[in-house]
Amino acid sequence: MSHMPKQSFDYLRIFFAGVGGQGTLLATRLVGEAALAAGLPVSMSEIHGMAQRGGVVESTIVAGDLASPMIAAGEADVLIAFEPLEGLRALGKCHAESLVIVNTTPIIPFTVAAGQGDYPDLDEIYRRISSQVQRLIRLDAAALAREAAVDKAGNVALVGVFAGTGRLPADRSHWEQGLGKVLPERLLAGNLKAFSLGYDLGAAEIG
Amino acid sequence: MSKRREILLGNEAIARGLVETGCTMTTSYPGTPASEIVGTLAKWKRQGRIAMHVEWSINEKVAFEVALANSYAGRRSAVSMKQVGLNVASDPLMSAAYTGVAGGFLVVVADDPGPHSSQTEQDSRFSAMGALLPVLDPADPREARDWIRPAFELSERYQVPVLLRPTTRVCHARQDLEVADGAESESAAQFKKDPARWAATPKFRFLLHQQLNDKIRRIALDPSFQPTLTNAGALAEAGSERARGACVVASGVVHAHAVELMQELGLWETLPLFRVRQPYPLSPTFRDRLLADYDRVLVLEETYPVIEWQLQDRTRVQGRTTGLVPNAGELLPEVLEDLLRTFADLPAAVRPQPPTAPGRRPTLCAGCPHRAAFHAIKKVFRKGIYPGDIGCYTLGLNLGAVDTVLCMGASISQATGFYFAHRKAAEAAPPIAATIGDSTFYHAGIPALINAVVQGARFVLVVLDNGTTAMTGHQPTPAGGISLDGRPVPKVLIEDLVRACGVKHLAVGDPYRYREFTALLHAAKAHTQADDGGIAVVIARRPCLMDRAQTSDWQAVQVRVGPDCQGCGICTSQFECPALEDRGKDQPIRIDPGLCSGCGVCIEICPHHALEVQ
Repeated sequence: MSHMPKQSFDYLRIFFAGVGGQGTLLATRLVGEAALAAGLPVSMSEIHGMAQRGGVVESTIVAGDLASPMIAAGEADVLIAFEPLEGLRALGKCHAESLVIVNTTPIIPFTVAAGQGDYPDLDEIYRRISSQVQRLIRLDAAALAREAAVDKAGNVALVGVFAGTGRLPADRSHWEQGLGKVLPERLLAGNLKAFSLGYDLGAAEIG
Repeated sequence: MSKRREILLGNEAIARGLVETGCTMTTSYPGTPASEIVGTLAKWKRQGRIAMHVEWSINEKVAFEVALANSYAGRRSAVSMKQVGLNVASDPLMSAAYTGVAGGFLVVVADDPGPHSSQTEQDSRFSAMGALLPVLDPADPREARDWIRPAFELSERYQVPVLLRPTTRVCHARQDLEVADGAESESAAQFKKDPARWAATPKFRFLLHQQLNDKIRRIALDPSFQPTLTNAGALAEAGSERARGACVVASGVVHAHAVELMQELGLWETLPLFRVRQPYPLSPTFRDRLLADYDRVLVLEETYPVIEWQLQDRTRVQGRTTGLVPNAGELLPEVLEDLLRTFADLPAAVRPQPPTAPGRRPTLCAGCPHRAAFHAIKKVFRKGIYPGDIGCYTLGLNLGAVDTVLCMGASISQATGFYFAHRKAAEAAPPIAATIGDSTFYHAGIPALINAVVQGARFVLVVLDNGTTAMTGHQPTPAGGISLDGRPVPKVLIEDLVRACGVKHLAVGDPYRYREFTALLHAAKAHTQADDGGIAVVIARRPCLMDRAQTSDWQAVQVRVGPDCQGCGICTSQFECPALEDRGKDQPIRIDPGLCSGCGVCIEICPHHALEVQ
């Protein structure tokens, strides 16, 4: 599908790719809530059920005035990949101007563990992604989460990086409102720390 | 009344719509992608926010009948389910179309084109057509909510059940909606006796059928959900509505994709796009206009040709029947783009080959008690037949411990069928071990078990009892003993039901206690082979690890890899615990401490005794 580069903000299509159990859906909701807090129309799409148990999990957000919540090949302005192989798998969703954010910790599929197929070389994955999109940001989300002392906050750290790039026209306060919406009170402080670490990293990458 | 914007899941939007329109009862049995409708209502019920009667019923047939009676009593009522749930409820559905309703009655059926989490991608709009009932096809959460009021009104105007058919992409879409807090309205029950309707004998059923035919004829012309021309403005401006002699008809989420694609492909000003809201019964005036005005009509809908078959002109109407639209699978934007290009004589899209990447398949969670149970079953019933059922534990197929998955409850009936199929082989007959989850056993297993007992079948049934309906998000089971609004209610226990079904051999064990559990399976197997034996049931009881509502008495075991590990891969390939990482031959496996739940079962299954307690 053709992509029309844009000067000001009309819409943004964000594709999330990960593995069941990584908190992909919560991350998607966080971005959606921040977009809403910033006054943007939001539509999202996700898949539940069997797919969530160790399978590939994909979800989408379109912010702006669009009819369909789904993202076709070549349409994603941003790809947030929770795992390198899933970043590669979803690469067809991107276009030449896309921003891709990849968490660098691999999760080896059972098919590979059982000797059916190989996990591609990581450098090769990054090389392929870089050659097809405008910008690739890599990070170790788990390390950021550990720094924030919240083991399971890798997903929020990853969203923090995206927030830091400023691609979504939302202020810091909108993101914080979003965090308050999707997380229970007791987890808020730690996740806010992980988010901030990601945010600074994203801002530094883009700045 | 304060108004604000909130992001709502499609199913949450439907729940809101029901509360806002004075629905006094909603019933359901959980199933993806419909679960969060009553899940949301149940949450509000627990919080004391709504008065509506809400229930997780035992199955969809029961749910349908309970809610229908509330409608007979003159009150607005709804039942929700996934598409295959409507198969279970099709008996009351067909009959309720004839009896009609009093209070508005909505049947919310969530379809799963793809399919993403179902055994079929059947189209519930066909079920509606088969039952002669109107069905509505919303495209997003906002419509799904906003159509509930006119749908109730339609139901009340014609006194028929109305189907609302969202798909996965509506149920599990999220959208920002304006919401307002209003008071729930309550209406008193008033059942008016009318045996000619509510208890109609075949003679009256003939009359009811005639009445139903008349209703459906009038509903086709009712103004509430008539088709519209989506790009009327753009076409009028360009003066080009008939420029191509062709048009597109779309419904549901596919219409949303078509809007964007047609704009991007430059077809918006020249190719009329009609939106159908009520696929059945299709408006005859709309049908006649299309066939009079256009030489070529492309129909886009999911997943069966329901609108297409009502446009009875095979020369001009294109879609699934002509092979232009694929006959299976979701109409994803990419698929739609290709067929719109073909239809509008545009050059084919150029798309780079997607990268190849090894696939991932879902698996049971690390520490899932089902994994231990399946491993023991395979060990005790070597070369056996393993009829399986619907739930998380369908994933036992990865472990080679599930051979058949048909529909809810079929494990037990199929075990019966396999027993009689192989009976003549006597001692050479394969042992049969069926598995069914606790919630599925309550849903559809009980009649099948009674049948197996009275037919004299012999097999072992393992009820995988994790105390919850895990796959769909941990809805309660009848063993819970508490209603949705927190009232204590009697507990209905699986062991009592099994005994009442006439089963003579029953054992309850914990699959984490692997050796003891294996011994129970051996004893059960012996009962099926004894002279005076019969069916044996073993309940594998251990709470789901993911269910926060249940507490565990298990003392987590710290497992470490000992010096004897040869990297044989048995624990990773045949036990398939996600916490165990295969690092290749001759390399000891690694335990991921972040994933390991400490069930300790891997210690028991390692043939080299290389895994040990730390």
